[in-house]
Amino acid sequence: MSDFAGLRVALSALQAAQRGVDVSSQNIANANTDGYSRQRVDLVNVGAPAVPAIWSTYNGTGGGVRVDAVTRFRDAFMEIRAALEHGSMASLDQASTTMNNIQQLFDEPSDTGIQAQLSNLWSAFDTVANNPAEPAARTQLLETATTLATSINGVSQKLTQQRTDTISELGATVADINQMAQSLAQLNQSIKANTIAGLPVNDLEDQRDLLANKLAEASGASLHATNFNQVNVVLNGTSLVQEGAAQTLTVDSSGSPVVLRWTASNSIATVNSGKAGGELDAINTTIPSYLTKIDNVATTLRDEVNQLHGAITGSIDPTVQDQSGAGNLQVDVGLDGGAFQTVTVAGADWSGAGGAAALQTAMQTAIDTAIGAGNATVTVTGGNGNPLAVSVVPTGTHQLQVRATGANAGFATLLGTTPIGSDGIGGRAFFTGTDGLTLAVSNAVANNPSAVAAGTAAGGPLDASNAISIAQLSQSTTGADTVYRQLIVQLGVDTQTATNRDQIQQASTKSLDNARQQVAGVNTDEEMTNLVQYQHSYEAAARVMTTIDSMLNTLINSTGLGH
Amino acid sequence: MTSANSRIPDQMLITNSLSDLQASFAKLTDLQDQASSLKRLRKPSDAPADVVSAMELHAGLNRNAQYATNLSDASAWLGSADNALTSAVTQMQRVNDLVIQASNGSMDATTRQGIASEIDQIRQSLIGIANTQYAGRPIFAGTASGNVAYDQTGHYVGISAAVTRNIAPGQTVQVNVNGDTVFGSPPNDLFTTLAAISNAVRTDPTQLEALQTTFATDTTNVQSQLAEVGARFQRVSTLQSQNTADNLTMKQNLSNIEDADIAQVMVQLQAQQVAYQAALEATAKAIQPTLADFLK
Repeated sequence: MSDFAGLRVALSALQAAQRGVDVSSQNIANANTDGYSRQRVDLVNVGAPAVPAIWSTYNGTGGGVRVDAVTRFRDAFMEIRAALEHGSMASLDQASTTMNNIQQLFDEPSDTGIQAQLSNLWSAFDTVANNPAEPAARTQLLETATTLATSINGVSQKLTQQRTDTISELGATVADINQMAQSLAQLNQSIKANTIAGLPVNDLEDQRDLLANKLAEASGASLHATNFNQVNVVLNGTSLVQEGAAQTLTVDSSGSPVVLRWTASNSIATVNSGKAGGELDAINTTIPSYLTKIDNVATTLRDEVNQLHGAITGSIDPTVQDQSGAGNLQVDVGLDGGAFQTVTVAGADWSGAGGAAALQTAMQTAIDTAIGAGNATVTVTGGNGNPLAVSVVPTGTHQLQVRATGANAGFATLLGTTPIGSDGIGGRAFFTGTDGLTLAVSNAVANNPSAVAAGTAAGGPLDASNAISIAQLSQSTTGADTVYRQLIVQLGVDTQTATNRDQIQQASTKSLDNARQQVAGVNTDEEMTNLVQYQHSYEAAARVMTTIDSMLNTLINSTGLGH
Repeated sequence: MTSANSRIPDQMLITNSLSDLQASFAKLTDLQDQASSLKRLRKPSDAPADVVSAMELHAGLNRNAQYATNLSDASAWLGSADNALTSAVTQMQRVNDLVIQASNGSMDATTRQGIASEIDQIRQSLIGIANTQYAGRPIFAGTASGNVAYDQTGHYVGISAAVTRNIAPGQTVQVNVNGDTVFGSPPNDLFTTLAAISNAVRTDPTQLEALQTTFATDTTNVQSQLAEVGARFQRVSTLQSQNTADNLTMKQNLSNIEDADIAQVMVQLQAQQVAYQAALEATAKAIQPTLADFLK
């Protein structure tokens, strides 16, 4: 051991303390940097040479200290778990946002929501029943019905719009995923190259982990650590990022359901989690299910009102089933808004056993003659001591209107229970439309208050029995009110569930993030302590150097022949 | 959240404090919202089952208001009919008296002429009663659209049909009585009988005995219809008070379900405010000092 060895030991200590202070200052500088992992200097003492040299001896005092590595604190397994948790949190966040957005479309409970408008409609029918001769009551009814239809249209429109918006958002998410996958692949390449070259990769790895976590959050992919400190990203069995290579995804919204495809192979990419998974679920499941539900409200309302408003029916009492002396019974029938044609049925005795069949044949033939075959179907049942039940149903999408021919009693006799407007015409639908978006007051009734069928063909000019029946739909247990309330309770439960699941996932993600932070996060107190510690080491090493300097001074200047 | 001997990095302290403060603030906002809106239920997810009950009650109250309108309409119809028929019965008793008077054989022609005139007057008056209107509509004319149920000659021009009103969930009441049911249908109607009586008083009092029997039947008929109207009127009155009571009950129930318990909300709000302030102060104290503050 040379006399100057002590100086080199002190120098190594100074250098080590210097590195320690450098690393602490880096840690403090990045205390608030997202994704930064704290670093620590790993020191090793420089000991005896492994292979003793022949002409020198080792005196056992050691050769100082050396910085072995700067280690990054990060738990790789926790990162993989965190990616999964963040993926499901993003998906549940999206689900909760979707449900809350849908919920905002329904103004319930309130005095102005669809429920209130439904009861206003039934009450408007009551008002018509109270004042059948009053056009104002009918106009008010039509206004109320139009308002209700418009409200239902509005909800459908906004749901459809929300779906379209979510598809655009999905496009942005996928663009983000593609860009992040690309960056991640590049980082993987750099990390691999640096690792092979033996260069530090701590900061690159921090960037990579942050990016991988964001990628998992967006796509719901899982992370897999691989050789040379690289990370692979796998989406349901297919690699999104494989070492230095990244694949891209595209949104295919041409069909239903909307899907993501691998750009290279055009095959479908299964995405169940992450923001993209949540958005796909909203687009393909959640929003369509509420569109179906509001469609169901619309069609139920349309059917139950039309059933009472537009049916063409008759009920012939046994006492008047013998019409053999009545001559020709005539009814005017108009097909699809065309001119009315007179249907003539020769009066006969329909009271016997074959009465129903005979009347059915007679009416069917007469209607076919008047408006052409295949446009309407006549059904007659009952009779033979019971009332004959007559029903005329237009086929397919045809519409059929009926009215009395002059003073002829055929209409009241054959089709007496047909609801008619104050203009004497029956068979008009009240609502039209096939779903929530298209529900409307029918053209035949809108702007034509006298077309509101408050009475029946046999009931007299001020008959309002039909308006009374329609108003009673408010009590229906299968009607629009009930269907709508079922929608709202489902909406409430779904929203509550989505919010709760999101909160639970947030809590578990938060505790995992805390655990990650406990490993990787910077604590300034700790760093201050390290700083003080290295400062003291530095001072001590400097003192060692001064001491050796002084010793050498004594040796060189005060010892020997010069005196 | 953290185990006993774990490291607490600065960032964790900050994010945890922040999320706890946000949670506390969210609770505070919710309570403030409840306190200002005075509503416990503001959206379906607040309590799905309760929201549906509230919707049913809103709809029920809405319908109940309409039932109240229908009931007062029904009450007015039946009240008009009741008044008209009571008056008719009184006048028919007068006719009965006059017929008995006229049956007395010793009466001279002039007196009988006078009695016949009075009966004619009463007949006209009864036709007037049969044409009683409510809100511009003759109440004994069924669903006919004319202004009268009987023309000047006492001929029935109404269309007999029930005029009904929805008066409660699942309940309707017929608010009219058809003219032919009350006064009989031709040729056995009251007005024909009265004309015959008048004629008999004038010309042939011997027919009066037979006519008296017919008239008695007519009178009984009107009286029984009066009783029927009275019964329906009674039912409507009962349902009117029921309707008012229902309204009150439903409002009470709705308030119980939908409205915030103001005392409870205010106390919770106060408590939450204190908690939030405490959290803010604690956070301010915890975040400030580090070892750096104490090293020279």
